[in-house]
This record gives sequence, C-alpha cells and structure tokens, in this order.
Amino acid sequence: MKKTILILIIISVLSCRKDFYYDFDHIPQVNVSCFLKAGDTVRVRLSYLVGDTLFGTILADKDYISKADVYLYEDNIFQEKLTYKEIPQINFVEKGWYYSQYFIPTEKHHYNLKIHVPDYDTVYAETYIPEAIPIDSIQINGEALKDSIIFDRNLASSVPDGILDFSVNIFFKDKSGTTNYYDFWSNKFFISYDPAIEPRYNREYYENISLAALKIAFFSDEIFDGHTYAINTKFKIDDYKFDYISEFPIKLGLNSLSYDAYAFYKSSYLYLKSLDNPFTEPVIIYSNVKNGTGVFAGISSVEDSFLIVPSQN
Amino acid sequence: MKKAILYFTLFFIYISSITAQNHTVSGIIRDSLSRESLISVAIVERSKNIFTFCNEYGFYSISLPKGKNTLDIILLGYRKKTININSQNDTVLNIDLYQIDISLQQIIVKADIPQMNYYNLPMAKISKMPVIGGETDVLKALQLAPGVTSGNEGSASLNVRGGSPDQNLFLLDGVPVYNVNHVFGFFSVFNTDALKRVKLIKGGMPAEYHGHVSSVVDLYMKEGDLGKIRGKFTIGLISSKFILEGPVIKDKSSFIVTARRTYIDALFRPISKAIADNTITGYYFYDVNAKWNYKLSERSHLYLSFYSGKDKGFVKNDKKDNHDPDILKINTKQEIAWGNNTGTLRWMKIFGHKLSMNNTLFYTKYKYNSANEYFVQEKIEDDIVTKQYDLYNGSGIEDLGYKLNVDYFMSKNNKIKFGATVSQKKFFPNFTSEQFFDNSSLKDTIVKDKQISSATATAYEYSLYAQDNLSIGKFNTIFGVNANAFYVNGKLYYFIEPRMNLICNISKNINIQTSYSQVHQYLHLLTNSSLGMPTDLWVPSTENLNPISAEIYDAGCKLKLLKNIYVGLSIYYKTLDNLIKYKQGTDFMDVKTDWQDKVTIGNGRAYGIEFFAQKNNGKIKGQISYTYSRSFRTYEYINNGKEFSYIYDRPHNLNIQTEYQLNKKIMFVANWILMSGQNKTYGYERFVIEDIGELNTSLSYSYISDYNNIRLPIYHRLDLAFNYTNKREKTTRIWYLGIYNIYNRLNPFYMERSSQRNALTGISYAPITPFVSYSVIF
Repeated sequence: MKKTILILIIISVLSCRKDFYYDFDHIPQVNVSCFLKAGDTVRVRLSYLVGDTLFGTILADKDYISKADVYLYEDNIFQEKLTYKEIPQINFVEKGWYYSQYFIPTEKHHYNLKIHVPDYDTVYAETYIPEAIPIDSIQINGEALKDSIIFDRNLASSVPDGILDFSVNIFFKDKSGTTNYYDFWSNKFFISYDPAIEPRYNREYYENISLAALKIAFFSDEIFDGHTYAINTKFKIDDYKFDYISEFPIKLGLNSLSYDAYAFYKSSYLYLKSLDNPFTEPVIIYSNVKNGTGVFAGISSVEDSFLIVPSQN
Repeated sequence: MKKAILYFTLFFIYISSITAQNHTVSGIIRDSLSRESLISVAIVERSKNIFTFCNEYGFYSISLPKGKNTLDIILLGYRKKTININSQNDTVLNIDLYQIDISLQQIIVKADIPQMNYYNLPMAKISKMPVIGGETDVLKALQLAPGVTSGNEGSASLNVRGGSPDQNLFLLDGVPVYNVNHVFGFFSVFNTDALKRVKLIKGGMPAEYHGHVSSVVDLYMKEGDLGKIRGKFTIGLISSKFILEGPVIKDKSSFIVTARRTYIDALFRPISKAIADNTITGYYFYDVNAKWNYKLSERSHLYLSFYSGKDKGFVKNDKKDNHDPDILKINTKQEIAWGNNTGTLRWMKIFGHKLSMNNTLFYTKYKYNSANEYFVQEKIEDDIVTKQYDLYNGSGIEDLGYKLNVDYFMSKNNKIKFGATVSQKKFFPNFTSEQFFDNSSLKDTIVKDKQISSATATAYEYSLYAQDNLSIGKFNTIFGVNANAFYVNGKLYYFIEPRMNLICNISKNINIQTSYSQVHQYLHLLTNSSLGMPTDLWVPSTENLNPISAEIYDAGCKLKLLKNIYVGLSIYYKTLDNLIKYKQGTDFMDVKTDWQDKVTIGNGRAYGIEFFAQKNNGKIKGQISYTYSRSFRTYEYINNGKEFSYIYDRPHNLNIQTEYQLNKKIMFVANWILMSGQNKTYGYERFVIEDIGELNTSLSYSYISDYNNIRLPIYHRLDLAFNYTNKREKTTRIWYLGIYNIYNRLNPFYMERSSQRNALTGISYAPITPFVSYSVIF
C-alpha cells in the first residue's frame, strides 16, 4: 500500500516538478559524545556539527575537536581535566578523544562536564550514574541456573539451521519510589517478547538492518515499579551446530540507565527504525548538552554468565 | 451538574423577561427566477431602526409597529426591493428578489455590516476566482478570509485561527462531511455549481453548532428551479461538470443534479503504458450532488438531498512470464480509494407568523480502502495451479442522526433559536484483512481468510441548544448554551458550553463586537505531518482520551470609512486541550499497532490580530486582509515535551483581491497572496555519537534542534483570471481563462536532502500554470 501511494503521488505531480536549493544558516556547534560507566575510565569524544548531504556524511579529521579543555566534576566538585588522545587504528588515527588519567566514576553520583572550545560558548552537560541493580537469579527453561547447562548436541540437528534455542528468565528487584531505567544485554543473539522491553528491537532485527547496529533492549520499570521482575528472553544459538565447539560462555548483563541514557536509546531506536520510511513522524535525538549537541549519560552495570556444555553423546 | 442548572436557569430567566407586542410580517424570500429560497437576506425598516435576517431556509419574521412601514429587502447580488406595508394584522408576505449582475450591486446598509467572525461568500464571486487547474473551489476562496491559512501549495485545507483542518465542521445541507479533500487536498469535494451559499464562522460560535473547536463551514446546496429546466455544462483542463435543474411539478416540486469527474486517468493511460508495458496507472475523482424538493403547502416543504464522491488511484499489472512458459498469468493490482456519501431528508414547516421548524434526518459516511492483490496461475504437469494473496486495509466513520432546529421570532428585538441533535457514530479506525488461496498441493486447496485487525467503536452524541438574539438600543446580544454529551465504550462525557456575543452599534458606521465560546470536540483526526492523506484516521474520544476542549475569546470593530469602504480589526485568543498527535517515530501505515498506542496528548494556544478593508461596489472592487497570528503546541512525547511552533503557524498573511469589471461581458480578477512559510521538521546537519551499547557502536544522526525547526521561505504568488461572458438569446457562454502563479514563484511543496551541505532541495509543483474552462448555460 505504501508503494501504491508513493507511486500515485509521484506520478500525479511529476510532470510539473521543479527543484531548487535553499541554503540554511549553519550555526556551528560542539557535539559531545560520552557514556559514563561506573568503574570505567572516562572517555569523551568531541566533534563539530556538520552539514549533511544527500550522499551521506563522513566526518573528516578537521571535524573532530583537538583543542578543547574538558573538565569533569563529581557532585559539583572538580575532579580532573581530561587529556586529549589520538587513537591509532589500522589505516587511520581516531581524533577528538579526551580521557581521564586517574578518575574513575562510581554509581549514585552526579557528574558534570564543562567544555571550552576556542570561539565557542562554553558547553555544559550533566548526568547521573544510578545504582547498579543485582541480578537475583536466572532460570533457564524454567529451571534454576547452575554454573553450566548441558544440552544434547543432537538437538541442534533436529531444528532448522542447527539453531539451538532456550528460554532465560533474569530476576531482579526494582527499587521503588523512583522511575528506574534498564537495559539488558548479552554476548549472544536473543529475542524478547517481554512486555517491559520497549524497542521490540530484537524481534524487529530481521526486518530492519539499520537497527542491527543498536544492540540494546531497554526498558523502564513502568509496569513493575518496586517489585521483583523477571525479564524473559529467548536465545537462539547457531554456534552450537559446529562440531568443533566444545563449550562456550553466555554472558548476561543488566545495566541501570540514567534518564539521559534511556531517552537517548529510545530516540535512537525510533530514529533508526524510521530511516528511509517517509510515512513516519520525524524523530529528534535526545540531547542533554547545553550550548551544543550530543549526549552525556551515566550507566552502571552488573554481569552474570554461564556455560553451554554439549553432551558427550 | 450544578453549573448546567445555573446556565439553564439564567438563560430562561433572561428569555422570559423579554416580551413585546407588535404585528408580525412573515414569509419566505425566494429568487424570482428559480423560486429557490434565499439565505441571509436582510429585512430592514430604516425609519424605525428595525431589522432582521431570514434564516437558513429563507423564512423571516419581523415585528412592526402598527401603521405604515417601509421594508427594504436586501441581499448581496440581488436588486434591493422596497415594500410599503400598512401593518394592522399579522401578515404573510412571500417576497421574490431579482438577481442582478454582481458588479452593479449597491447594497450596503447598516444591517449588512456582518459580524467580524462571519465570512459570507457569494457563489458568483467564488466562480470567478483564479485557481490552479481552473477548477473553482469554495475552500480555496475561503482561504482568503482574514485569520485563515492554507496548508501545502495548492491545498484546499483550511486552518482557521491556529486550528487544524479537522477542527472545522463542514456541513453540507446540515450534514457533516468528514473528508473534504480530492487529490490529496488539491481540490475540495464541494462542487461550486451545486452550492447556493457558503458561510464561514471563525469565532463567537452560535449555540446551534457543536463538536468542532475551530470553525464552521456551512454550505447550502441549491434546491432546483421550480419554473423551468436550466443547466450548465463546463469543460476544463482536468475535469468537466454539468448541472441540470428544473421542475418536477411546476411551482411545486423541483430537482437539481450536478456531477463532476476528472480525466487525469484517461490522459495518463497511454503514458503509463509507454513507461511500462502491461501496466496501467490511473487516478480520478468524481462527485455527484442531487436534491429534490417538494412543496407540501405554502408553509411546508420537504427536501431530499444526496452527495456522493470518490477518489481512486490504481496500478494494475497484467503479464505473462516470457522466461517460464509454465507461468500462464501474473496479475498484480494495488489501489486506494476514498470518498464520502451523505444523505438528508428535511421537512420544513412554518407555524403561525413567528415560528419555523426544520426536522432533518441525516446520514454521512466516509470510507478509505486500499487493496493489494497478487494472482499467479501456472501449469504443473497437466494441472493448472492458482495462488492468490489479497491484503485489504481501510478506515472510516459513519453517522446516522436526527436534528431539530426551531426559529422563533419572538418580537421585533428578540429572536430565539433552539433545537436538538442525536446521532449514532460508528468508527472504523483501522481494519485489515488478508485472504490466501492456494491449490498448488493439487489435493488440498488451502484457503485462509484472516482478519488481522478490526478496531471499531460505536458512539452516541447528543446535543441540546438554545440561543437568544436580543437587540436593546445600540446593543445586540447573542447569548446561548449548547449542552452536549458523548457516550462511548461505557464512558459518558457531557459539557455545558456557554456562547456569548455582544455587538454594540456605536453609530450608523461603527460597531464593536466581542465574543466568548467554549467548544468540545469528540472526534480526533490522526494525521501525519506531511501530506493531507486519505489514510488519516478519524477516531473517537475514548475512556482514556478526553474530548478536545477549546475556549475562544475575540473582540473587534468594523467601521465604514468612505461611502463604500469598510475596514475592520479583530483580535482573538484561543486555548486547546486534549489534542492528540502521533508520537515521534510512529509509522502511521503500521496497521498492527492500535492507534491509541501511537498517540501522545497535548495542548495548544493561538492568538492573532486580523485587519481587513473592503470595497464592495463600483467597477473596481476588492479586499485587503492582513493577519498576524501565532499558534503553538505542546505534547508530552514530542520535542522532549517542549512547546513548539505549530505546522500551520504562519505569522504573516496578506491577501489582496481585486476585481475589475470592464463592461458587462469582461471581467478581470487578480489575487495576490503573501504569507510566512510553513513550518517543517527537517535535518540538514549531522552528528556522530560513539560508544553506544555493549558493542561500543558509533552511529551518525541527522540533527534536528526542535520539532518544526525550519520555516520554509516566504510564500507568495499572483493569480490572474479573465472572464468573458457572452449572453445569447437562449444560452450564455462563459470563457474562464487565467494564469496561476504568473511570475513563476517556486513555492516549495516539500523539502528533501540536498547534494549541497547546509541546504535542502525544495520541490515545487505549481510553477506558472495557465488554465482555461468553457461553460455553456442554458
């Protein structure tokens, strides 16, 4: 139907189409990119907002900012001026990175960035790293998890493409009194039909390739505020079909997100989902950066894992 | 509830305190030729400063003091009639008015100074205005009214005082019409040849109207000539139309039929075949209006009217696979269609000299459908195997109702109107079904018929109203109340809406007016941000979604500057609550998600100042209007909850219309329009975010600072039209030629990404465009 409507619109008006350019004022802005993770070194990348074109836009070296003063504050107390770094890759050098030398952020604190770039207004951003919420327990196919799980290797050959699938429930206790935001991740591909998970991302994975870049299943505690909740996921392991694999780990993680991270993920998800679809409403990417663009968002995480062990049969 | 009782008590105390004793003159005012009743005719007794207007059905009643009185009967486009009457008893006086050439009218009196909030347009004027394609359009003519802006280039949508198009109530012979667009909004569904009168009410909402918060566009169909058969045939560049009217029983019963159809599909068929063999692409619309009226007696009339219109676009492919001889046939078909059907049965009865009553039974339906069909037939060994897959999607709304309107001309200074409406509304916001047929297994035929989604709702709407129009000295007050209720899914909403107008005639040449209206709207139109698509969904208020609520305040003054020049100024302020809009990122073509999960709720505010100057007679006539207005919206899940400038927020809007009547045959019309560009949401810059998620992904995003972040360049254009009327013995021939956008201003229809940085490509579809049509009237 979309195609029909598009064809009709195009045909009905194509004959009198005239194209012309409009130039818009480009107001130069500093773009900040930083996910502040509890327990990790701080790293911030600074670039400029650049003009977009029909043919796509790849940032050149000059579009990254190398001469900035980046100051980090914890609970309004100055901690460190970040150090500029260029990171060598195979064929090029990544520019525009600023790292902390000593300071490591921790959960349950507020953080501020103050950035001076020559000829630009001072840029400010603020976020919070929420308390990490432990995973209470994990069930696999309805049974409590031990350190490893043994699967009959022959099961894999009984399903199409040798994919082994199993259901995992991750239990955790939400804190009451505040709105909390989470994201669940794993090192292996999973699908979730859990009603709490907003993006429906994993089930749309096959439909929209642009979403594949954003491997995040985020959610808020809207439907389970203050209660113990079990996030349900379905894993689909295709590695299992290979005979040479004897055993392998499945890693699971539950991130606690600041509102900034949640809002950014949500807008990113909507943005990627709507790419190349003229029938969607426009999406504005969330930003909490004053006098600039981008995002500065706090995250804390917990991790668990188990082993998949093939049976010896 | 207490509030309701208080309003009604106050209202009836107010009415009962007002009485007067006079003799009454009443009757029907008609066109002398067609014998059709006329609307908005002023009946004036100058020396005693008494005047009234006939109602929508031509009935008037005026209370006059005993003795000699002189009545002037006045209507734009008709020769003024003066009647001397010696009033001793209540008298029935039916009056015939003679139509004159509009250029010769000399009809401005005090009673003609209209309310600032009303905009009346004579059909004769509309039919001479220049429009794209030469297809005259009533809604495009209304776009020139102060306080009204249009949408996209060429669109017939109306945005009245910061409201959205769905907030206008379109009534065709008293029946709501839900989708007023042909060709994605380029034309309205109203055929000007079928219409007798159109009235736009922008504020000071009369109590009889309810259910739409911005404006009322009240359109009346012609009734048909009671005297003789007449007709008109028009051939234009994109469509042709005809009108035929005449008596069924002379002076007792008449009919009128009009029809219009485009022939874009016929013109485009050879081109589409040339582009792709075996492919047929087409688009057309048609509409048909018909009305029959029967005079039961001099004081009792029966009317039956009907409207049907449809747009249809399709792409059909019919081919044989040359590479595989076993594939016998592959057919594909995609089509979309939408349209309205309305029907009205009205009985008008006059009781005594002061009371007229109209009973109306009405039906209206809007339906949108799309279909995707795939059919393949192949030969497998000796068997013919058929596979077919069809997917259907649609939406619609259907009303069946009854309406009562009573006009009671209580005294020379006091006119009361009251009535009621009850209607059943059925909503089909989204229905999708698929059918699958396959006999390829040769033994078992598989047939699947699956309803994917079918969200329907039935609602009941009730309304009671009463309004008193009272003149005391220099003051004229119109005070009314509309009590309305809406019942849906077990939830009952009800509101008492006060409506107040105060007009002070400071002198013969100056009046000032102020009004206050409270209105609620139980219907919401879910629309996308780009085109006015037929896929827009009409949805009801539900248990989770409150009705739209609006409060409108306005004030203005109008004065006569010179003999024939009027100027006016008005200001307004409007608040809107419980508006809905698709959330950001929502795919409005996604039929699997319930519409309630796709919307966010918000509110809006609008304000503005309107100025106009008008010269209504002489060889050169015209109007200048300028509006400064702003309109804003705030939604929880759009623009991060921050207020933003509404898509139709176009602060400056200047219209200049002029007509020059060279002689009885030749007339020139010129319209110049200048307004601020439309707001759109586009990104023309980009930024990159690093370290996203567990994979530390880097993604690039288009930068949009705010919703509706871009104001398109100023919109302006000049249109010229030339009318040549050649009257012959039995026929009149009219040539209607013109040029739309004469200086070829490229006003953007939409924008897309550009090959240049910090730029967008504007796409214009309406460069300089000549048009011509030819009409024969017999």
